[in-house]
Amino acid sequence: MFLPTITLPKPSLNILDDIHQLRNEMNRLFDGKLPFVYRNEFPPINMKVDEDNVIVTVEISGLNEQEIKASVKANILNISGKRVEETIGENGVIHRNERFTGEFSRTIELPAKVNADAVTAAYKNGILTLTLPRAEEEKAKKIEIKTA
Amino acid sequence: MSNKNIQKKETAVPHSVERINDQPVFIPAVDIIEDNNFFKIISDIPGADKNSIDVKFEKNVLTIRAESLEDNYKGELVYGEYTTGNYERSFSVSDEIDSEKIEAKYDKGVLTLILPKAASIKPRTIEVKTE
Repeated sequence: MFLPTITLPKPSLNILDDIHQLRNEMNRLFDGKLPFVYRNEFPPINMKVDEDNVIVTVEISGLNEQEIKASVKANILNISGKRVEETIGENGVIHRNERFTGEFSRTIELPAKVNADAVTAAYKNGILTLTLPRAEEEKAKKIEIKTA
Repeated sequence: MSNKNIQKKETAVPHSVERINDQPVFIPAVDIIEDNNFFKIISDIPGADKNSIDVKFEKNVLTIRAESLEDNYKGELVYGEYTTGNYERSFSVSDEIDSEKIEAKYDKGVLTLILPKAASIKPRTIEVKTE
């Protein structure tokens, strides 16, 4: 009997991505409060807020400090730069190429106005941390309660 | 722009050895380059401390393990695109690698492994002599 040859797809991990995305969508649908979102963009960004600061952490490994640009205008933060490809020799062969390379630019809206002049940045183990102090007028003011 | 998967991939099935902590396990993205004398495995493991990295070569399987810890900034997480956890990935490596000479270096969230090829299989040019 003649059987057609079937080329099986390579085992793919992408189904997991799909499941994650679905889970995220479901979460968003049923519980708008969950902060995790699926965005397949480089670099991934997390954001925390406390009374005084907005803290943005970015998974951005393998760059030099000078290669990362960050700018703030009002409550809009932009992070951009370029991750260069690995140089290979004349006889080099690339077997896997999963890591992101090339130019990137991410723009996100901060949940509060920040004092752009007082932003500090640190880069360690491939994590960029931006500490953005909230603008004075944005800070919650304590109300003293006096007894009569 | 490339269409690569940026978001860390979580493994579907726990590895044969289960973990005590219930942190997610991610498969780090890698580039693998082969040259005349070596293989180079470059993997992104952002957030991992150098001391948490464990590279093992056992029974022709090269395993990379690392852990990224949650930052300890106070405050409420209002937006998140990544989570922290364990990185783990294994590669089966043929005998052509000189396992004694595997080198690893870590810088800025990138782990680079150099796997030198054993001398016996490096391509040799055989000179053809005329009589």
